[in-house]
Amino acid sequence: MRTTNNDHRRTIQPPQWANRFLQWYCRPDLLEEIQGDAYELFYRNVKDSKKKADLLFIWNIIRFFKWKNIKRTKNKYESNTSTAMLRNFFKTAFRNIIKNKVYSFINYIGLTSGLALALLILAYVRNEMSYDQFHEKANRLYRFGYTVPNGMKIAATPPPIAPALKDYYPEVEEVARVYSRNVSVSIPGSADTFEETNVLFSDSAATKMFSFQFVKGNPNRALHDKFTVLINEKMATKYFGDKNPIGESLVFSGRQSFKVIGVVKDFPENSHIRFNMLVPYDDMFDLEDEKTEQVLRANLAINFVISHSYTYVLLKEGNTPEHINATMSDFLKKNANPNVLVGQVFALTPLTDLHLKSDHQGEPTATNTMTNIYIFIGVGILTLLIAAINYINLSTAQSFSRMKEIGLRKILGSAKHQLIVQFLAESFTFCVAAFIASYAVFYLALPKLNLLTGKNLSFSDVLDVKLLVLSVGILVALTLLAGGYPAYFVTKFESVSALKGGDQKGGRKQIFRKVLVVFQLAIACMLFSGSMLIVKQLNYLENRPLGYKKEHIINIPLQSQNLNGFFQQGDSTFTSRLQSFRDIIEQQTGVRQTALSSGSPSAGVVFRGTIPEGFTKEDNIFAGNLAADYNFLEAFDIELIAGRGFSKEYGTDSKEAFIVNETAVKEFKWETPEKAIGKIINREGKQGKVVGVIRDFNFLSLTQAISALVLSIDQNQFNTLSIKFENSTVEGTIKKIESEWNKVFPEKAFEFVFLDEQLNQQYDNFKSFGLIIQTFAGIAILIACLGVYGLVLFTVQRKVKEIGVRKVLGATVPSILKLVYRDFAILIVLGFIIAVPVSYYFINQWLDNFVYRTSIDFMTYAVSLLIVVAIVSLTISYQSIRAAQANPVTSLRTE
Amino acid sequence: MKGSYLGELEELVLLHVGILYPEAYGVAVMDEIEKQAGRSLNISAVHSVLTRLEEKGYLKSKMGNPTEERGGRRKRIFLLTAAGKRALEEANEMRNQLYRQIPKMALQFSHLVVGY
Repeated sequence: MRTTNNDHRRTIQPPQWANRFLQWYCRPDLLEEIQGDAYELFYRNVKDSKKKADLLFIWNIIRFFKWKNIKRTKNKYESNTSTAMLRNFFKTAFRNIIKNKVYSFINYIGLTSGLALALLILAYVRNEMSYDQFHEKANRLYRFGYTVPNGMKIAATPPPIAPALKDYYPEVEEVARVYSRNVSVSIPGSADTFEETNVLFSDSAATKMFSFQFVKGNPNRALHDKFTVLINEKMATKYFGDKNPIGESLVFSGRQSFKVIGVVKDFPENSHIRFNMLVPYDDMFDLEDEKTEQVLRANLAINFVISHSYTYVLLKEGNTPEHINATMSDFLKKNANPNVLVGQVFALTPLTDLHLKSDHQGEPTATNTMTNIYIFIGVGILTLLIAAINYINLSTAQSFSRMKEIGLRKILGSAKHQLIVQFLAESFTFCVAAFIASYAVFYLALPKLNLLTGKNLSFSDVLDVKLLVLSVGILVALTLLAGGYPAYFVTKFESVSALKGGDQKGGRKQIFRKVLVVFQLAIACMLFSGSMLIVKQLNYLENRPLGYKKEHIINIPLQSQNLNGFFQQGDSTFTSRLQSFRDIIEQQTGVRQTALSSGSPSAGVVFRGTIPEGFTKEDNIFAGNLAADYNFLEAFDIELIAGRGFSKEYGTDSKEAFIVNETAVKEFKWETPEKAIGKIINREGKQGKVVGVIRDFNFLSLTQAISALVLSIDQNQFNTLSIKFENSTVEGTIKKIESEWNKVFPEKAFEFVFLDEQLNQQYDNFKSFGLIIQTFAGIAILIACLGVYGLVLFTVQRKVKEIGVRKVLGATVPSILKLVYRDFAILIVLGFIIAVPVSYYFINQWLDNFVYRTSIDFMTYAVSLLIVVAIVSLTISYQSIRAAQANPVTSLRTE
Repeated sequence: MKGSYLGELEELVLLHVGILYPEAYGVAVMDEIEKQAGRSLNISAVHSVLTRLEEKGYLKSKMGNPTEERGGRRKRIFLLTAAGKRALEEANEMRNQLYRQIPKMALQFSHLVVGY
């Protein structure tokens, strides 16, 4: 068997890759025999067939690839003291956690919830800050806005700016207007009409500026050809189901048919503008009757007065908006009648700033402010701090009970840096575990956050590389922060006295720990009083009387907010049909009143050039304008303080009567309401007299101050029919109204909204903000309480003997309780004293954003102090009462 | 040292290490088992058993001389230890003892078959 052929052996070799594989994985101390056996078998087999021998060799190598034979770095056959020590660190860390279950649990819960809260806040903040970033050219996209002389900023701009802009400014690459309105849409041949919101009429350049995602259809002709429409996926399913919508038709306003040429994904939720349908800009006129259409078209090119479209600009690479902002006045001088634009300042806002930094009126979607974002970030950081302080406090407290271990380690030759590594390793293990749990909590709490914020964040969206990198950053910071101090602290132990179990020179440390507790309590008080004040302010806004009655009123949109009303053209049959409709429903039981307006008191105000008596055109006054009919004041219970309301008895009211509010009287310097009667107002050519003065009411959001308002009867601006009911049982009546509506206006879907609901929606943002802040602050305070609880537990345990001795010597339970409480009472009060001015400063800053602001009162602080004291006392009580009531024999017996 | 229980394959390998004294190494043991017991094992399986027996203390090993058929590599030569010898004796003893306890009747198959 053992005879071999020497020549063979030199030339014939088993497959070398398999051999190399073996050498790579095999433990060095086993390699020689394994390789030897494999070679021996190979040489034996190769005499029969090389191929067979090769295969067998490979097979053997694979079979040798098992755990026992594989190289390991931490191999018990290697002697590596540093890793052995590390393993020991983790082992002691683990034992410590198990030994002190309560501390560990408190610590763990605190850290986990702190981290989870921070993650939630981070997810929210990142989403808010990511608005409009998804456009490929986002960094070059801007939108025009302008400031009118009274300081108000407006998001929409006059439409003729766009076409002239590209010629005037070489740095402009593209410019597009976007007009958003509702349209009644139906499928040809079907009687069903749907009122669609967010139908964007847009210049075709928009396709080169924004990142549209086409699902179906050709992007090249998008927004180019007349009577073509792009729809989003939701619309495609709504109107065409599973059918391919391309080539199908949709009828707009019962008048014009549009061909579907593409299906485009709606912009993501973090877009400041959303769409259901996209239609060429020019086509908006084709939805009107012929006469109106002609007027509108003729006006468009020259209308520098009325802003209805958003103007977006794409700058060429490497350009900033400063030049355009600085020279817009020259541009306007060249292109527009300068008289109509005096005092107006046009400026570009970066697209990505629109959601958080815009203070323009009439943004397409609800905006947020950087202040709120900073508040969130602040709460997040403070919560993390509280959790970290918990950890530091509990670990240093605990390190006393580990004195013997540390002493022994030191005597056995442990160097300082090794002890530090040990504590950092413990802290790291702990933080990693907390992180993993916090991600789980985060995952579970995300739907709740979505509910609070009205967002639609999904775990997979939120979880990305950046977040993980940040998590690792926080992890390292926490490890260093939370492990570093106890580590430093422990290295200061005197080893001999540590072993004896003697007291350390702990005086100063005690103070440091108390400072941390004070800091923690201060944060808790700050968050608590801060959130109370924020909620107070929000309640104040919500409950502030508006100056009119919003109850039992529904608003019915009449003309899909079109541009019709601004020009002296109306659909005559519409007016008469409307009148007959009103006559019918006013007969209904339960209906008290109907009124026409340009959009109810809260939404219908347009700012227009106004020349009140005593001023000239050059003064360039803009005043709010609301078109209202004869019943308006009565329907909304708006109080008249001088003169009279509009009346049919005066035949000329519809042509030349104005009603102004108190602020207008002041702003127009007419001294008293009585003196204002009979003054002359010229509003963009319409001249008339003031017939009445009304009490101020809030016609804008409560974030805005009341400004001058002029009411007039402008038949052609009426676009809202308000119906005031007798009481709140309106369902049956509304059904009847709907059936009447369908008889009179078959081409237009019946729609209505309750005024109070509509108004409350304005405050939804505030409300959810208040709720989020309250929730987050509540959690932060709970975490702080956990820390206090742990500390009390520790103090009481350390004082068990002292309490025992005191009791033996005759101390009563209350006197012992006083002992424990006194310490913490001082800490709370100190924390509170620090918290008050800080929170006062920040809340004051925040309140400055509001025109109508609540006061920062003593009561709020007193209540929040009381509540924090109550919560902390409750936390302390259980442990301290138990300790005080314990039988001193048990505590003194054991040594 | 792991448990002292001696598995069937372990016993087989242990016996063959004894048989091959003083030339017992991986391939030789594998060959011998095939020859004597008719069981063909993979070399890696033999290896595992050998190292396991060494861990249990039934075998000791030393490196032999390099030989040419192994491409100049040394063999690991396995030798029985005292504990290994005792383990073999105990296993043998126990088997015999148990065998002796089987009633004679149970082994008389012809009788049983007829009686049935």
